[in-house]
Amino acid sequence: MRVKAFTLALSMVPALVIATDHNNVDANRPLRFEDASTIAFGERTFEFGVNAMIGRRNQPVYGLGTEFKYGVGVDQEFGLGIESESADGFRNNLGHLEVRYLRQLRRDTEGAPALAIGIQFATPYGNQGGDPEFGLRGIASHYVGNYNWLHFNADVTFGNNEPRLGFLFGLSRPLGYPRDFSQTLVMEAGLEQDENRQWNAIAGIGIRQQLSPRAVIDYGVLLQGMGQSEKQSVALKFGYGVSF
Amino acid sequence: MLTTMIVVTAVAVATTQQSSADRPATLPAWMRSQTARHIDYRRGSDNWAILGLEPFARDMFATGVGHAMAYEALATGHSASLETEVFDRINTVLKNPPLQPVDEYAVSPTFSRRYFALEQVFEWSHTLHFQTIDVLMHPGWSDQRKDEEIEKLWKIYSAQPYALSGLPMNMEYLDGFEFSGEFRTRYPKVNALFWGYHWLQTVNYDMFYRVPRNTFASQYEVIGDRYHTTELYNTRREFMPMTAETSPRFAKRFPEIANSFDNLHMLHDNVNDILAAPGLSQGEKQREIELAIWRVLATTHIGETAGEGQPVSLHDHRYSMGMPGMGMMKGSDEEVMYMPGMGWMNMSECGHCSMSLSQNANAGATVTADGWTMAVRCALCARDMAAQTLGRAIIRSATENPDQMLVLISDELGNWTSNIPTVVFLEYMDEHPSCNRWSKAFSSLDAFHAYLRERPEYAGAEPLTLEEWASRNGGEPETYKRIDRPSPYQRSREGQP
Repeated sequence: MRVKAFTLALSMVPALVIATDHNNVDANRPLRFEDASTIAFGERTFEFGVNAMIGRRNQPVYGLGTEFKYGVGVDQEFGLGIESESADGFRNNLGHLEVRYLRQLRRDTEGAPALAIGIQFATPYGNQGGDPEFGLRGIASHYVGNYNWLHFNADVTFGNNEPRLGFLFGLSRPLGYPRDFSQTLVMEAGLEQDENRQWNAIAGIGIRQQLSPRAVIDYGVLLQGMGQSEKQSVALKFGYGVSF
Repeated sequence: MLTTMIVVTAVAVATTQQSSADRPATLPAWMRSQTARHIDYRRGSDNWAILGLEPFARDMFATGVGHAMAYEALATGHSASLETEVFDRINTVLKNPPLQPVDEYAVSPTFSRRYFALEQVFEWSHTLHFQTIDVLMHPGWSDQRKDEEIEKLWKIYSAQPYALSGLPMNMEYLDGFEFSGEFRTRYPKVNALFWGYHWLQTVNYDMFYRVPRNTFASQYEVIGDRYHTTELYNTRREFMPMTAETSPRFAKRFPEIANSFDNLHMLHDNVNDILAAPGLSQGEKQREIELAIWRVLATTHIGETAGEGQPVSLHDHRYSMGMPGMGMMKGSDEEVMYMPGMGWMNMSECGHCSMSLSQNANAGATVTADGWTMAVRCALCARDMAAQTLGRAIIRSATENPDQMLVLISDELGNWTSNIPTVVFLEYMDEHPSCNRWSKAFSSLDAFHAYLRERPEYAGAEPLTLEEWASRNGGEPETYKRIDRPSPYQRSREGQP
């Protein structure tokens, strides 16, 4: 159950803006937070990610994730994904099937932030079973000057137990500007509740790098479980997104 | 969406010369919508074909950065450094252009959020720019297929409420507001950059349209050099580049697209002038920019017809003879117009001999030199017109085969190279009014002889090799009519070009 909870937290809720634009921050690409924007109407993207989580007391856990996204309407996106992870191979743990919907409610203006809401349903499949979960995410993004964007994500996840909460603050800014236009730095810090409703701190840093007009790679490091020594872990993440 | 309208405060800012009837009681609702409305570009095998010519692609990507940097400086109160630090920063990017397309929203966050409707108009029109180029550069499609795909792109573009009008608009009217000219007067160096971008964004269409793909790179050596050495820094240009001036063949075939690009570029000029106008508050600038958008939107001109309209008005859609892809310019009428760098022209006539041009888009030739592109009637006119101009030149000439265009490129000394190694020419000097019959290019000797068999009056004419043809010069044709009028763009303010 712990593994499943971690998986869901990593992949919690929908995506970015334009998957092929490094400036638009996508959940799990490479950090957990995302900005309050959907992909474009009619856009189709495929994303693939791998991660390795190294814990203080556990053997390494490896994860795989794929997701298809489609801009189903103006300011709306739909996603269908599979997340799997295991410490001893993926044969006995096929993972979770996830369905997501993201709706941008308003864009960023000088007086008010962009707002979006995401809905996600995740159900396990394969041999290990587990409980389906349902999550909501509220997202706000605002430009604060000097090419810095601040983001706030608030999560609530419903399962068999009491609802769990999570809060993330993110920052994104282009790197190398004005000589380079292909990289965005992303950083985040936040708190999340585990299945026992205990709060854990998380922090991460990563890069989104444009490879081509249609493709972005991302990589980053995520520190989790800070404050509870037995749960501390470091996750190394790498991802690739492409539109087609 | 369009049926929902919002009321605009009808307080006329006393900055324009136009009548109050040119101000709408309401603006389209989308212009003040708080939603993002990102729309994806059309997917297809043509996507990003522009990357097949990397130097050109990178220069095009850099134009977006240049626009965005200047706008951000204006929006954030850094206009005092526009001609110095900001210019240098933009120039650095232009000299080291990005490898990938750049999100202008990220480069100009303050400007883009403040004038979001404008950003949507720009983004959608720039998408049309790029996708049209992609189609023209597609490696596998026939010319016929490319024409069909471009027509589809225009329909897709026109379906959105923020599409600009494809009707010719009167440029004298659109550039005749109280604030008009402020930007080019106050910031001539950065204005030259803007007009340089717009030159590149319009000159490329004739470079690609119905032209063999293997000539793209050699043509862009000439075009790109001109862009980097002259056009970006030309503070003496009298008016913004018009699509029909730089790509007349494309503009004649796709007049709606050519007009929409010109209307877009005029919108850029309007916005620049509004942002540079010293007497306007931020709220007034916001309102004037909304009005500037509204004037050139397709929805503002529904039911109106190209070729009609009250002279020098918002709804003046007349055009000069022979060029439906360009609105009326300052001082022009149905017969003549003033082309910066060339003087007064009749667009339905050959730029060299003043004889009528064929209505067939695949006949005659064009000459690109010294920053302009002119349609001419025959190979002789093209050669001799190019010879009158300093610097390198490109001739794109029809041959007997509609699918095989001849592309000639000259060096600084007038030495020509050809994309067709077997090219031969007929030049049987006769009365100039029939020059399009006795001066022609052929893709082969067989084609030359086949033509002569149909034209016994030229029996005995010898085929000329490229070298022989290039060494000739027919001088100024007796038919040439010079139109002696002063430039309508006389300087009225100190520092104005």
